[in-house]
Amino acid sequence: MNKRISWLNIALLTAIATGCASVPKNHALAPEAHTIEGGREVQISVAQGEIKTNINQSNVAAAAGGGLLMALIDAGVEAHRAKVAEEAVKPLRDALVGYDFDARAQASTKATLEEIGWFAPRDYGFVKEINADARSARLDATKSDEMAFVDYEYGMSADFDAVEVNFRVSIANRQTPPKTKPVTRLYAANLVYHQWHKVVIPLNGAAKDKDANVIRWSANGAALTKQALAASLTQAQSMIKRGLTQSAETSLAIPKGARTTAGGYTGSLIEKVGTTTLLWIPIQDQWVLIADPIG
Amino acid sequence: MLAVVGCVPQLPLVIDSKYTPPQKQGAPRTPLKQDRNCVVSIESLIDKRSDTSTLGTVTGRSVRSPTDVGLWLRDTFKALDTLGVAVSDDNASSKQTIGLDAELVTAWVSDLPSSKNANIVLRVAYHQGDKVGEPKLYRGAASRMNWNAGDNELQRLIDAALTEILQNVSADVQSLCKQG
Repeated sequence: MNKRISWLNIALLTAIATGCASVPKNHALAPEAHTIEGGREVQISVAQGEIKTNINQSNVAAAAGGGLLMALIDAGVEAHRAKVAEEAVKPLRDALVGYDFDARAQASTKATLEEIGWFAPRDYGFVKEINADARSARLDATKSDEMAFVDYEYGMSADFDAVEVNFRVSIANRQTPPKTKPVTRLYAANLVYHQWHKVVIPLNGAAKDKDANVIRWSANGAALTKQALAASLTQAQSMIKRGLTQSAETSLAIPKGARTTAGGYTGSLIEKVGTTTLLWIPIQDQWVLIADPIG
Repeated sequence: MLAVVGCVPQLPLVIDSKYTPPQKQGAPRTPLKQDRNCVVSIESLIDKRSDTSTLGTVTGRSVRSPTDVGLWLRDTFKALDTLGVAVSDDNASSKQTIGLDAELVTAWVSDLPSSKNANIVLRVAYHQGDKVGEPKLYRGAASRMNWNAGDNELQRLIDAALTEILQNVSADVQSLCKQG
């Protein structure tokens, strides 16, 4: 597991943070901000049709000091890697036909938010497409002062040696900041709360060969993959709860954790329990949980 | 990388319900000879997706399903006639008619750095008279360099995925025709 690209970061930052704002530190809800009159509407999204692939980015241009030709080489290398990954994943996708990740994500998210009494989720919606205009329009229509969004993305690591679930929890104000466009409510800096998360479930004894790993993930109706996705959602729910209920002091202390490497990720250690490690990755401002390997 | 569009989102693209087979440069466009004694009759086309409106996002650009998915699938299957399979819409009499029922299981697009990808899965069942075959899954997939998530390149991506399905359906239908 080398460097990973956070697909959700790319997709959502492109679609929503179109103002290209820097990442703020609104990662904790003050106790006085917990309760909102009338509760919060919730929109859950899974913007994909099947399990996604991932690739390691090519860095020829960076290594060579830039240049259009080098950038073109990078693009060609990445397009080739994508083609290989999309071909390799086919048996797994076929084995997962009929597996409904969307329903599972919705059910577990509802259960989690309802456990947090003060959150008071009131209505749930589900979408397969995330775009800033539609989300802004949805905010206009809410009857609450705030609305929560939980966006999931699930996929394989670049080497098919882990299942990864990325997700983001955000809370936006219905009111538009003065003298700004409505879509600015969704910019990271203007959100009431937001937190990126990732759960990584490695494959025990994974091979270097992608195809060999895909065979294991796909066997018996993709039993291992389904197990990994279920485990990811379980871990995701405790991370959602932890993020929403953490204090500002706890949030501010996270970057001060000991520099730690686990499962190919390096970041500040938040917690290590047994063989499960929770890190904060500064560059993506994301919590990454590397769980026990399966298989 | 090549698909950087700054902070200006492009308008959503609605995929055309007309399927256009990809043509190799310089290749003559001559349909394969059809066996008129064995005809495929397209009988039912059902969209089983939970969200029938969206196909996904490529470089921040929304890609939407054709407005009439039934028409889209029908037009696609009609292109079997370019692959040597005679297609009938109306159960026209023939020595041998193979009924085709298809369900659209999934259709979606995605992106990875520098590339765009499409996946379409159809569950197809064939029947000849009282003989009903087991449904079979057909996957069409395409992965291409992403230039700017333009209309034509996204449409061609979808058509390429459909082409893979058509080629496999065509092979199976011709095999059924031979079995009689």
